[in-house]
Amino acid sequence: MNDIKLNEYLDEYGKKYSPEPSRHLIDKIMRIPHEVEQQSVFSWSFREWTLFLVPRLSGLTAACVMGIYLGGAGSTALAEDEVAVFDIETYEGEVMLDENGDTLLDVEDFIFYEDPAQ
Amino acid sequence: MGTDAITDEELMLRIGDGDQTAYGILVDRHLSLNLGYATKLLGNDAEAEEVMQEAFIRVWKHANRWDPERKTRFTTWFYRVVTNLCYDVGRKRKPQEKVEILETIASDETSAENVIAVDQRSKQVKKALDELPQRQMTAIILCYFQGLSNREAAKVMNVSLNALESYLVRGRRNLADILREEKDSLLKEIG
Repeated sequence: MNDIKLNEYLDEYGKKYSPEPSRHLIDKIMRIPHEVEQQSVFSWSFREWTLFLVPRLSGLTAACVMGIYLGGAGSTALAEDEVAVFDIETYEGEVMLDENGDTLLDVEDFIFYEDPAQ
Repeated sequence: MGTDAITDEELMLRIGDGDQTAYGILVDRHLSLNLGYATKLLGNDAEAEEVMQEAFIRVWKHANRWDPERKTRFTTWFYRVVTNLCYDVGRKRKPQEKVEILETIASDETSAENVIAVDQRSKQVKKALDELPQRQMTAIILCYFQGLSNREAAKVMNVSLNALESYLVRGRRNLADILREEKDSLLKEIG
């Protein structure tokens, strides 16, 4: 079969199998807006959710990692300072204790003071 | 401003805002052409009507997600929706249903001799199209009956232009072979 004959056959077929929509079908299709609710804008597809979440989660993770790193370093330094201050205070306390050793003893003496008259 | 000046893509944006008038215009523009397309792909009026209903439900439901920045043409998107729905219907069919459809078409006879001859040839073409692989048949229907350019048809079918052209060439060749074989067997039966 040559191309001209084939085109002729296809033309005839095209004309025969091109139905016009029935009134019933048009009515059914026109009723769709009354019967079907439009999908919410927020119900995105998985791909859209991924595109939305991935950059945000990456940013959040990076911020957390930076926070842990910098925060960890900062608190260590502070702890060292605090330990240093504590040491000085302890040291000073010890000095004071030593210095006031007699005082404490004096206090003991005061507490357990026995009246010589008794 | 007349409705002709509004593009399909603008209508989709309006439908996304719940505009039922815009929906009506879009139905008016695309129902007839796409119904013909679905009927040719499926070879069955009732199934084609169901496909069109489902396709327009998708238009209404998903219109608010239409993204004009993607530069997709509505026609291309809609043909793709209809094509996929038709493929789904075809997959769900039982093997014997195809025969029933052809018998239904064959029983539609008229008295005039010329019309009978045209009918007979159309049925042969229909049968030959049904025997083609699905993609070759889709390519022929899109380019030949729906009047799409090769590039547009390739977009609808989501294939390269070269692949589409290959489907067309092979489809036409196969179609001619099937029709020739049928003609030969008919002549043998008569002779």
